[in-house]
Amino acid sequence: MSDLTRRSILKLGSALIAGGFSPLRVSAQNATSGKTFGVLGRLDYSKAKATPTICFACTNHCGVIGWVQDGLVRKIDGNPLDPNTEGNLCSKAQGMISYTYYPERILYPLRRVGKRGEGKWKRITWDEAYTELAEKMRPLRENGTPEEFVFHYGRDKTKGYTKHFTNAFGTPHRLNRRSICSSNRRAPLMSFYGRDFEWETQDLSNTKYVINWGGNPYEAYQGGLFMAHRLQSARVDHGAKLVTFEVRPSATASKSDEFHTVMPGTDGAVAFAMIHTILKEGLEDKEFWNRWANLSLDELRKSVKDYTPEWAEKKSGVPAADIRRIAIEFANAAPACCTMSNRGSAKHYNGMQSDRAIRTLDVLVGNVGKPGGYCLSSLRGWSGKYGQEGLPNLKLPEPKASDPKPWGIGEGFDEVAFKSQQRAAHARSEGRFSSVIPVFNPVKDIMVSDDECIRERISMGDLGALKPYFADIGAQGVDALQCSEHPQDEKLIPFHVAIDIGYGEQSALADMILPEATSLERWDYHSTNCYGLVPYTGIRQPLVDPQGESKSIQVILRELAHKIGGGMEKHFTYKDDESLYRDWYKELPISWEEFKRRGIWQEKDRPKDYELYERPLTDGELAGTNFKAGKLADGALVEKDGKAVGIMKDGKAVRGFPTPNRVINVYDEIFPEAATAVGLPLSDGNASPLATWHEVPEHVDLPDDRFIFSTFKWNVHTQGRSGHWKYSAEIIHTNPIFMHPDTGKTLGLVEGDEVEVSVYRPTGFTYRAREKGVMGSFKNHVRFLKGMHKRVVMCSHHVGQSETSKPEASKAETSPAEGKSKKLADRRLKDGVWWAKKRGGIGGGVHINDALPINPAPLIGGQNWYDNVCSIEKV
Amino acid sequence: MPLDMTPEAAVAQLAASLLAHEIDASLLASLQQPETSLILQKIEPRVASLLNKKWAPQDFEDAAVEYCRLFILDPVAPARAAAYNEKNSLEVAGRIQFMLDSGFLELPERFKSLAPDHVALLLLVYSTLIGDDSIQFKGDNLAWLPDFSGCLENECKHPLYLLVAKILRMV
Amino acid sequence: MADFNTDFPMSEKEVLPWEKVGKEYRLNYKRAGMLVDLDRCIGCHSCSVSCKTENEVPLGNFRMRVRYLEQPDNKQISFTPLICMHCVDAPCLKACPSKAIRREDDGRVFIDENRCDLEKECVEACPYGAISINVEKEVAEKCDFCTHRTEVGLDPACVSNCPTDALVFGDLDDPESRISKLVDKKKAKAWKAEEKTNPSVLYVSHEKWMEEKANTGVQLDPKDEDVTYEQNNLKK
Repeated sequence: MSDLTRRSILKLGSALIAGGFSPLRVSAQNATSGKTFGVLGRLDYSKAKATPTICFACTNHCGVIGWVQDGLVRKIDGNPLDPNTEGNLCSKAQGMISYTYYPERILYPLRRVGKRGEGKWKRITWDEAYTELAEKMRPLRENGTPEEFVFHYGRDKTKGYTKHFTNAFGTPHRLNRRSICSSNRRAPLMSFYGRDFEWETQDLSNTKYVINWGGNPYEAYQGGLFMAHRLQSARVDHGAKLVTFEVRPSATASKSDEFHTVMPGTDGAVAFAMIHTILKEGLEDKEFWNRWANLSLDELRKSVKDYTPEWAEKKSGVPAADIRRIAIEFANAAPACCTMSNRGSAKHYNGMQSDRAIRTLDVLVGNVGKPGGYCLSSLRGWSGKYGQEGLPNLKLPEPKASDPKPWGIGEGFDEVAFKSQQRAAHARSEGRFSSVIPVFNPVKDIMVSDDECIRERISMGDLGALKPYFADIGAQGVDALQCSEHPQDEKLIPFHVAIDIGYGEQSALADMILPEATSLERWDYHSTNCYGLVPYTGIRQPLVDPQGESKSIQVILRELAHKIGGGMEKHFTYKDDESLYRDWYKELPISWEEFKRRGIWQEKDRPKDYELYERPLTDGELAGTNFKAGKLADGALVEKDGKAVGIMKDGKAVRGFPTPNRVINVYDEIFPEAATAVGLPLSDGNASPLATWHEVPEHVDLPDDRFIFSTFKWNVHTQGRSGHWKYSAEIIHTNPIFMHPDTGKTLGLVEGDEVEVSVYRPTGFTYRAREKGVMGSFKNHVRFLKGMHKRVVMCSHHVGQSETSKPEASKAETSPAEGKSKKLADRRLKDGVWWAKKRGGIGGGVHINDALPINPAPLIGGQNWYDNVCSIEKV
Repeated sequence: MPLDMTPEAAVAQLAASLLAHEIDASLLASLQQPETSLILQKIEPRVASLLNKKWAPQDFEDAAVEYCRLFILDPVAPARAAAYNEKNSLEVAGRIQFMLDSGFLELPERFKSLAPDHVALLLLVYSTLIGDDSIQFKGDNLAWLPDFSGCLENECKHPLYLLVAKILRMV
Repeated sequence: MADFNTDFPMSEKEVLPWEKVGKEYRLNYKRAGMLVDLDRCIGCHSCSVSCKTENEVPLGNFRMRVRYLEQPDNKQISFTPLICMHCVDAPCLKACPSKAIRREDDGRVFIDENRCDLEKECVEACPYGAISINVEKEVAEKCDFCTHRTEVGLDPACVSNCPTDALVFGDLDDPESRISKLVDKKKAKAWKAEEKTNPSVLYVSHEKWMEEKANTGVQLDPKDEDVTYEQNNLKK
């Protein structure tokens, strides 16, 4: 230190002291030596504390053990007691450490200063935040318009706590993001098997043959980690065969025993041809079909008579001989065989019908509910649903607020139209949708999906001013120009609050940001379907206190409810989260302390969920029904209080399926009914009551210079929210455009060339359909892979976001996307980010959201982003 | 802690309090003390007009907005060790958390919600140490300080925080 | 994999696996080794990221790395984890002029950071590219089979979290051990056996394209690879 500096310190320091500056009044016990100042280096397992909890890095929610030392979470390991993972874990779990400790994490409530979206903020206290929120929200209740409060969240892993709040407040308007993901593939399941089974549980441990249409459980997928190890064991140890239809060489496709590329939107054609083949060869399980399907085999045969393998080859590009052979192998392996499908088959205009065809295959060969087959097991929320008999009843313990009236009730209201729309809403995949009325836009003759519909109503002036709008887990809107326009309009959305851990594109358009606790700092109830086929539950418990001033969502809602008052506080009686969850779990047969110690509970002796539909109704279940021994005919429904609870089979009263007619609804009138209610022509394939083939409209006669642009997921990232997970970002930090080398040749490209991808709007019955011109574009570099389908180009969507896609402890360069909603972030770079452009590396990713049009399927509302037609030009 | 505060400690604590939270009336009063104010203006001349006037609520808000822009929301000059010590980003936080858990220090109210590797906390602890402990602590936990003050100087638009950058160089 | 139904009864007296950590445990291996089963591996990076988190490995260095390769002869991608082989006849040990590398009792090869003088001969000598330089600590670093975990009864971090049981850790000199039985059953072999270093990490089904896999980057983006090669002396 120079003398000059030393003198300055003395002068300044003395002046401060003389002026009475000693604001901190700190005293230390003793000046301890530097050597005792904490532990360096690796975890010391003799000192570190292990606590079981539930991961939240992706949607699987695996049981994990968190190791804490020096008050910090240092490592995540798998919880060997979790019957789904059996102790396994993926790379993303370590990202929880990144997202809890990264230096740009928001730790304080913030309030916008200046214009919305200008980027000027200041810190406020929680008291100031709650006061302002209550002042804005209380009048909505007092004036009788609570429905003007909209709560938008991602997936509600609090298992109903957010709904508890919106119910207590009195608003039915809860928005989620199911339509962005898997609506189209859930709807067929809910139609076939009932709302309790919108997701299946294939018995992969015991399967011999799996046909996979576009699913990627080895990298992502709901339940992917639970499936991956079971399927690998089945293949490697027991010779099971995995056949995959895909458009890129995903990890799943790469480990499949057969990998066939398939034209996007034609998975259904392949499935229909397999149904055709199985019937032709007489390999169907007649007994099972006749017993449980609500359609005759003759009708089915008629409906698929034209769907030959040769026909399917023309549509899909998969050789007819392979389609035929695979269908026969599949049927011969029954019942220890199953199908698998997800976004690849379903995120298309015809995706819902494609998945109905795929699901028909399982019914046709009779593998439903059988060992090694396509099983149905308890999903979530243990409260006495089908398949949960005998499980502890786990219900949110607070006084329940009644469900508020759906919006639209009032003067001039058309009840008939309303009821039709309600039925259409029930045709959707997710029960939550039914509390948000799907809006039919009479001007444009189309149906739009929930959150977009709210925006449409806003822009049509129907909703009036949409008052406080909560966004929990900020979304990055696709069709970004469209999605950012409405939140910026203060007349449409007068107040916008974001609850998040980081600054994102949505929170950038908010008026207030509330810092949320991360998964390592909060409680949650957990249950999901178990691929071991015995239900279980788990508890997410905090490993460390919330950093800074962040609070868990449960605490925020509770404190806000009390601040708003007016009777809301009656429904939020618990003083802390642990008390709430302890009461929530009070029916468990083990003590609360024991449950916390283990993190998991499962009733080990419970039989597996095979053939739940054949289980006889117990005497208790028969009490109060119309059942009288010997009086009900075979096939008759066993009813209680006007509701079917079982069905007669071979003189016995058995459970059947949780559908209104207790059988598998291969044929379902709900689709044409919903179509009629919303004005969709019955000639549109989506309206068919039976699985039917129809084309993706904009793919018909696709010109040679047009390609399909879609997205995919890597195994180290989760959606668009993991760009700042240090080690994940190191492995994947760009999102090049993957294409087949022949596609590149056609376009005159060499590997690494920069191109511009321009996307056009879809042409079916959907949002802004048939609008001419490019709807959005972006520039990126290309990479060739032989495993790509020749008409398909793909980017992952994990990186390139302007606000959240930054690795921990650094802000790597991201390239700007086209479109006005992004700004270039040129930040200081740190040593560690070796891939930074300024260090000669490749830099970060490109934002592709501008080129993803809002494209909801007409009835179900799932976004059809695997249909995007694009043109490509070398830059 | 020495019974009398040393000048070095006072300077470190000044930096700490300016970085721990937005400037408030009480802290401003300390800066505007005649003798202190003159010295500060020599250190950073651009802060003269701020120190020589009476602050209106808008001035406090402007400073708060700048504070937020610099250090809190999408921070251009993040104030946490993890942002500069990529290679061992949790190390500093771990050390400080350990110390805090041991009851070594009673934190002032406005420091309690800072992340354990926040520069203000580190400066505060540093101000309580002497001799070898002080040198060891600085080497272990504040080696990144020049990076931070450099970044602050580059990014900052408000004279008050230009001043802070200069004061940091004295620590 | 544990037998789920019998190994974890729901009893309050039951000591849970993570509660057993550290209590009266001694790893009595004669030859610590690992099996890498490429039939089971799905390239998920659980091993490499768990390793980095566990061992605070800086960005740019990898102790356990997962390489991807587009196979030259078909359209599928293949992956392989690469790790220090803990060779019985370790060239790094012989090459180090500071004698900073030694073999532990159970045969694992260990770099003593306190003795490392950053001569970097070990990096050159290793035919498997296992050693990297930690620029901040100024030492050479590599996998040590997570000594701090194995000494308390845990598997190395990579093995522990692998979701498909593709990694197995155990005593290669104990014929009754799970790893020895698997080595036998699946005919696991050394990679680059011609280097004659006698590795303790053995691969199942590695024969195809192993060299090509080792020479690619961690992600499928060619412009990136030149930077990651700084630490990879395989690309000479």
